[in-house]
Amino acid sequence: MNKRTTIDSRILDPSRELNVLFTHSNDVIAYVGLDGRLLKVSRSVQHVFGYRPDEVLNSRRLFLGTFKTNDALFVLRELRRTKRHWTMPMTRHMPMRRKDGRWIDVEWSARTVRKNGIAQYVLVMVHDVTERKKVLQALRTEKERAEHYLDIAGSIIVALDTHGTITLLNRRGHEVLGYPNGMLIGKNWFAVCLPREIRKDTRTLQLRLMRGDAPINEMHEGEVLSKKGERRLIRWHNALLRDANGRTIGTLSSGEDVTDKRMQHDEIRLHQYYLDHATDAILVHNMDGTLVYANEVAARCHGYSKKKLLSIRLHDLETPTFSRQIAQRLKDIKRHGDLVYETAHRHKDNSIVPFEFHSRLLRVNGKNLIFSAGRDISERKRFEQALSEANSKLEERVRAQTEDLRKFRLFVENASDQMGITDANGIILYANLATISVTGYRSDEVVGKKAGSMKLWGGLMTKTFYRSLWTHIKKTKKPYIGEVRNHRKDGTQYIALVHIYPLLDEKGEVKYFAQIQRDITKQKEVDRAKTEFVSLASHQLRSPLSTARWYVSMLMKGAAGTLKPKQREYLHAIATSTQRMVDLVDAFLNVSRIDLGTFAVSPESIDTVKIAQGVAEELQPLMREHKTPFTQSYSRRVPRISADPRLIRIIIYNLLSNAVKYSPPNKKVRLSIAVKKTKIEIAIADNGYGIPKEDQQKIFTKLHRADNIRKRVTEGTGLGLYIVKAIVDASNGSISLKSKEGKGSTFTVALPKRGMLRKRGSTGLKPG
Amino acid sequence: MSKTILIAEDELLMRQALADTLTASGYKVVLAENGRQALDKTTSEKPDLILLDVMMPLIDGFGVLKSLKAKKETASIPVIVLTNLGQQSDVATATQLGAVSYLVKSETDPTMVAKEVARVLKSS
Repeated sequence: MNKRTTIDSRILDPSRELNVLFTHSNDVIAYVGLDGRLLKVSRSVQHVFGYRPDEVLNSRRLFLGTFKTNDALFVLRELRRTKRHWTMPMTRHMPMRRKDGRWIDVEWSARTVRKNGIAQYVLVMVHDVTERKKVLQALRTEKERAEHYLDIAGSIIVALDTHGTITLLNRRGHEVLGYPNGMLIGKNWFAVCLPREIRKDTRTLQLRLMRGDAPINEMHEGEVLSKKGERRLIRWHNALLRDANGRTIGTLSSGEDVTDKRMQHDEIRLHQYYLDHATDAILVHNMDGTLVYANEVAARCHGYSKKKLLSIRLHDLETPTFSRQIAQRLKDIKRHGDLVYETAHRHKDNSIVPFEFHSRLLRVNGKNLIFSAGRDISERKRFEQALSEANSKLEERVRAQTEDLRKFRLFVENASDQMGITDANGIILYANLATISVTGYRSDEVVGKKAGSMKLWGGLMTKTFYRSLWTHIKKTKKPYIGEVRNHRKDGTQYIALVHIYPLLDEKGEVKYFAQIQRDITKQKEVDRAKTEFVSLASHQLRSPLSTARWYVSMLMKGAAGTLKPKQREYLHAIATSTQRMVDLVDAFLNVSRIDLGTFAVSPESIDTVKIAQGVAEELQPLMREHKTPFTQSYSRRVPRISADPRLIRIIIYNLLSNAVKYSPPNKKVRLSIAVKKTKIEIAIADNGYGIPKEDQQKIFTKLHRADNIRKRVTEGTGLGLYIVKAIVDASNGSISLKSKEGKGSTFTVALPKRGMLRKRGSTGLKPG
Repeated sequence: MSKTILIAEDELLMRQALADTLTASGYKVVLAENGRQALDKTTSEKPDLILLDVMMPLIDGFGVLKSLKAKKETASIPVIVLTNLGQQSDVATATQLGAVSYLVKSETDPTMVAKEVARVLKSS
């Protein structure tokens, strides 16, 4: 700028140089008296203040009149001080007013001139710094603006000198590093702001940059360390700072905190990884069908690479059947926000892959995108197919079974026997058509009522009968077959052959009862007529038989004269035959009485041992004839029981005579009576022909004689065991058989100690 | 003096067999074919014992028995009842009505009948 000169005491002897200076100086040079009056002033006062020199000389106007009040007071005070000690030069900046009223900024410089220690005057230099101020102001403004820009910049701006000291660090830089704004200026960048392990390398890099060994415009990433110790990743661009001479004085770097971006980037990569490896195929496409994203699974499902898949339009990916639905589908997705649907895509190899997708509408960056997650449902479709096939097979089977069922239903509905189904309590659920013809009640009249109750067809048997029937079928869950006397709706009675079967569920509990009734009244009448006929015939036969026997007996006893041996022999033959006939007739009569139920049971207190012994004795002749060795054995304490002695006798007689008859000679027969807890057991054991297994069930029936016997033994009525069984049943006893063909048989009759029930009847059974 | 036995039996052959056997045993025999005859002949012949069949026409054995026991003259004559069947009720009725013995035709023969007749006559 301007040359500044200090004027000393040689002023009163101005040299030319000083005069030149005084005359041509741009600054105002003034001699100011201690009272403030202007003693001398340079010509420059004109252009600086607008006053002519003569206007201001010898007055206070220039200085005191041009100052602001405060400044004027200050100057006056200082002038006064000058009188005393003031020795330091004063420099001040102040606003001063020109003649034309315009204010200017000046730099006022004053020095006291002393002679012999006494202040003489003050030498003042006034330098107009208005322009400079303006420039400085502009510069400052510029600087502030620049700083502001630096501050509001999103990037970190840092300038380092050659030592690495921070000469500039913007607001963002302080922010990222976590320091109050401005605090890091003057600190060493490397020591304070970088993590330990990269300090050396980063400093080396800076040095190389400044040396020119490293390329300037390369971007590099490096971490910084915040005040809190947090690491941030910064992406740097570096430039060199040069002075006016072009010498490198430092580095200027702008950096971007990419930590989050990196994290975001990493996160994005992670998300992409997830998407890629999701179990579902994921496709994202525009509303026009162009794919913008496909994950790994989607690509695999279609047989394409991801890249290739993205080049295919959705409409070309889907089979024609489905691609024509796309428009509607997109409409639906738009309306509802999402949609689940089935479709089929074409694989690279041209096979068709069925898919199920869940598509959602997404709005991204102002665009509508469809995000679809789905899966290959080939497997599921196969299952569906198999299921549908199985279903139709099932339906077919159901149809067949229903048809089958219809048959059975028709069968049951139209059977001639009355059939019904009841629940577990006997309430009728179903009754077939025959119900009305058998019972007189219509099917609908009986449904909902209890089967066999008095209100329907029951009530004619004893209470005990119904009770034990119910116990039998319900508690012991066994079937019942028996003849029951029932009555019809109109009151007429009939005999029914009743079958009742409990039907059990999986747990073995009674679920239903099946019940069949057959009206056997006619049959029974026929049977009865037959039996009565047998009875009648037998009765008729008895008389002539007795007569024949009597005459044979008289002849045998010599009533008509002595017999020759041959005559005796022949008579004996007649006697045997007639005896046989008598036995038969007796047996027929017994059987008919049993069948008609007319035989009486008259229990008495009996000694079964005695009866057995009696029978054994009676059969002695028979045993001798058959050469049968016989033993009898009775338990010591056989109690008397209540039983009909005649009937017990018949049992033992029939069984014992059978044993003898059906044994070859010299085969032992044994009669024994044993005592059990609630019964006594009469056992007849033989070692004879035995009874084949097939016949064992049937031997107690009428006129049954096992095949093996019929060939060997011609006598025998075939009724003996039937009679025995009938008596045993009537006595509340039981009979069991153990037999092996060719080995022998043992019949065991068990009679309750408590004994027989009295049974009313019109006749007894014929013994023998 | 031989005893007189009245045989009341409707079956000819049986009647004959009994008559033959009893005659051979030394008895005098009077025959009746039905209940009416039995009563008449009892009055007229005054037998020492009556063999009475149950099943007879006109009046059956039990009817005859009742009548016999009702009249003083005939009540003391011992009666042996003969029957074809073995019903308990018959036995009971016979005994109740005053018969002294009871024989079942199919279980006996003329010889046994003669024995019984002898026994009853001896004990009366």
